[in-house]
Amino acid sequence: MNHQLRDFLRSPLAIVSLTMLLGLVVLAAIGPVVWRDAADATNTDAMFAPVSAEHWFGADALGRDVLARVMVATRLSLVMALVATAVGALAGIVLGALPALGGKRIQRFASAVINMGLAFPVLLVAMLVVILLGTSKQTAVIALAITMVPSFARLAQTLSARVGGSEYLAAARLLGISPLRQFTRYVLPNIAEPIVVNVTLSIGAGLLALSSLSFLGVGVQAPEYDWGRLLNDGFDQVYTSPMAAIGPGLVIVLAGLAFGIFGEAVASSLRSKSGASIVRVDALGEPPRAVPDDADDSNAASAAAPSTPQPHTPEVLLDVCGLTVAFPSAAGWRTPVKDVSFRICAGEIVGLVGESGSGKSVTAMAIAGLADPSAVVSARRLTFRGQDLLSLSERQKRLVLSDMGVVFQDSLTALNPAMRVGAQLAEIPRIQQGKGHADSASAAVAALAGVEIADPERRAKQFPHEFSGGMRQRALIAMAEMSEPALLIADEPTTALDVTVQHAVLSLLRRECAQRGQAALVISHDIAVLGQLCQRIIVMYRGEIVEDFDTALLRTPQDLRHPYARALVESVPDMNTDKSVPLATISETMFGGEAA
Amino acid sequence: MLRVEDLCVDFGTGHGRVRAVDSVNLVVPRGAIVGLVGESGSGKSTVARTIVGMQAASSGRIFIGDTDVLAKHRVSRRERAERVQMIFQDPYSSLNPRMRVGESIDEVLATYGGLSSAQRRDSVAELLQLVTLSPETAALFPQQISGGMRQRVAIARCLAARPRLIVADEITSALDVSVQGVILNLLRDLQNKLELSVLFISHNLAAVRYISESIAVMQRGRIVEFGTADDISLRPSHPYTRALIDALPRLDDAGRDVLLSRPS
Repeated sequence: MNHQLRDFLRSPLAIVSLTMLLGLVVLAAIGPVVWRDAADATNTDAMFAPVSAEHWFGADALGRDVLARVMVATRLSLVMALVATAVGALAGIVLGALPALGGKRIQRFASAVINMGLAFPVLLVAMLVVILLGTSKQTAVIALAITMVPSFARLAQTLSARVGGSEYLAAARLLGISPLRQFTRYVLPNIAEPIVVNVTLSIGAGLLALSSLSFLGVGVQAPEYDWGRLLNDGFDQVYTSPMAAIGPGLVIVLAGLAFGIFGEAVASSLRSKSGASIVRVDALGEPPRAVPDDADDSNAASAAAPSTPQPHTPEVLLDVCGLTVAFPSAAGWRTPVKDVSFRICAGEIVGLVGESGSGKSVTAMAIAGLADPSAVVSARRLTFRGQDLLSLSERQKRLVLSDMGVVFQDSLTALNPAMRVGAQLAEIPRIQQGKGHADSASAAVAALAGVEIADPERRAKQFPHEFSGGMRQRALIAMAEMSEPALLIADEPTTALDVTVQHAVLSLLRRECAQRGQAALVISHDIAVLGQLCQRIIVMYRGEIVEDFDTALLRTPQDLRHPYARALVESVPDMNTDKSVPLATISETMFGGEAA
Repeated sequence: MLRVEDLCVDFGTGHGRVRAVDSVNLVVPRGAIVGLVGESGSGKSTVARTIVGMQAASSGRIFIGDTDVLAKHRVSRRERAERVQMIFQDPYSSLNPRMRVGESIDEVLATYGGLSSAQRRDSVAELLQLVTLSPETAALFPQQISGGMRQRVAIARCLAARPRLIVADEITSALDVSVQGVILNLLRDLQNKLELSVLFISHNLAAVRYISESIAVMQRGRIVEFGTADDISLRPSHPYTRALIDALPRLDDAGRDVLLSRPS
């Protein structure tokens, strides 16, 4: 929390705006005390006096010093803007956020009220209030507060709808937490940040709005004055002594800017906290790269080669040696993948297993050339079909990589929701092979039929949301198979699916590979799933490969060399697990030494 | 402890009406874990939400203890909370991100029991130790601890209300496989120690079999089979139950390429 505040205070936007705000606050505090006499002193000699060393902003019709009056007006202007914003924000938050705790009917009613409020033009509402209540500074504040309520209410409503639908609020309700506490400890803290930003921005806008009201003569009434009033007065002499109008105008703009910049600074600080922080990569020094190995490369690779030699290893399709992936982070370089080496032969199905954060997905995406742009990917050797992926130009690399098909985990986000499934599939032959529209469309339908989607013509014309989860996954497989790749990379292809659907999708993947003689790298956190599908399994733990073994070994997990791999197998209950003993578990500190 | 009789739940009205739960009967005896297994859309989560009061029933009776919670319209929030609690699927979303672990357990204790704040602090430490977390965890925010730890916090928080029945809805599915075992072991330990009555809901038949004494299998809103865990896993009578068992990947089949030889 503290270092976050320190970071915030160091940002240039915050420094500038805070200095300006501090100046405003000091002026508001001392202005009326120091300059009151000067501001009220009439001087008939100085009527409409132009700018001079004595009167920086000139003097008004009664010869009073305009600068002094601007200084005195600071307090009233600021207080009015603050009060109006505070009242508007408070009413808006209550109207917008409180219904989140109530039932659907209350929410709908509140929503209707807010919608109606938003539909009224702001100026009309302000004028109406002024007409009803008469012109005075109180009226101006009330009018401004009322115009602010609907937009704050809408913001609070949108934000709290998310909280209202959250499981933690549901849990709190079930636990019998009182509604007041639900509001103050659950809803408010979780919607606070955007609202704070908006309040800050609104103070600036409110300042301008109040000045406008006063300028139009419906705000502060003489003999009292705020900046808007002074601007109005100065306007009478704009041709003789323009500074009398420009001066107050300048101060209004500066004050509005100060709040605006401060609001932006707070907003960007909050944005950076939510993960999108800017890290200066050059300040982090050299990224960790693959350790160069002077020894014979084939030796280095064989260290991690399959524990049982493959009797039919005709062609090495993918050769990964010493793959290291580094990401810049605020705490220096992170290396989720460290010195990873393995090979995949043509037609071989290899599983990559590990927990979340073990680096399995990062490894696969780095191989497929889909690593995050900020990642630094290095390797002693990274070849696919004999082509060195590290030394190729971007264009050549894209060509080589088109021979890898990728099936993503989340089928709902991997497909474009606004495009028909058939059209998405058809893009691949059209772009990669330059086929015509009709040919591509029929290829897409054929591909859907190939993954056993019934009625493929009709399905091709549907959108992704009209597909079930299992069908979307099939469509993704069809998409990856469109270019008939030699290697299929599937990242958790069945994780979100029901067991029966999972079984069907796994069978489909297995058949596809068998029919096409295709190799596959399948990533999963579930070793039992990989046991069904794969011929070899690679176990990753904290960014490193700890075991690489023939799948048949899963039947006798005690023969696995690495304790983590053993524990991974034994921790999963199946239909034969002994119910009388606790499940084997993986203690979080068990392998701490090796991970260091 | 829990007796569900002829429970029906409908979604929507008029022609769009869908019966999500259809005449479900279910019993969880005192101090027992009963499993409810089914795939997405089977209505198992709707049953859970109806039992805890997050979803209105169309007809039927739900007895927790000896009161029908559906008949009694004005069961107070507190009264219901003391009867039944739910542990949610995703510990990443079921804990308030703006509240420290200790505080979120403490507020439940403060709602019940009438303990002093010092006593509550001790109780929070005890509850954390009960779910095998160190008392220091209390000072952390949910985003500072792992998913498995969060789920343990959620369990501790649920225990703080001392409910007579716990509904555990897919409590391991959002976790890594290696952590699922930890939670299953913990739930079983707690059930032995505290004689909890638990309705354990999951799509994973292997996990349900491991932890439950009896199992109900649900498909399309109906319970299609109910029996002891052994009966269900060794002698399934309903074809859907058999399909569920057959679809589970078996380690004994590893490396035999069963996917090619045994088509779906």
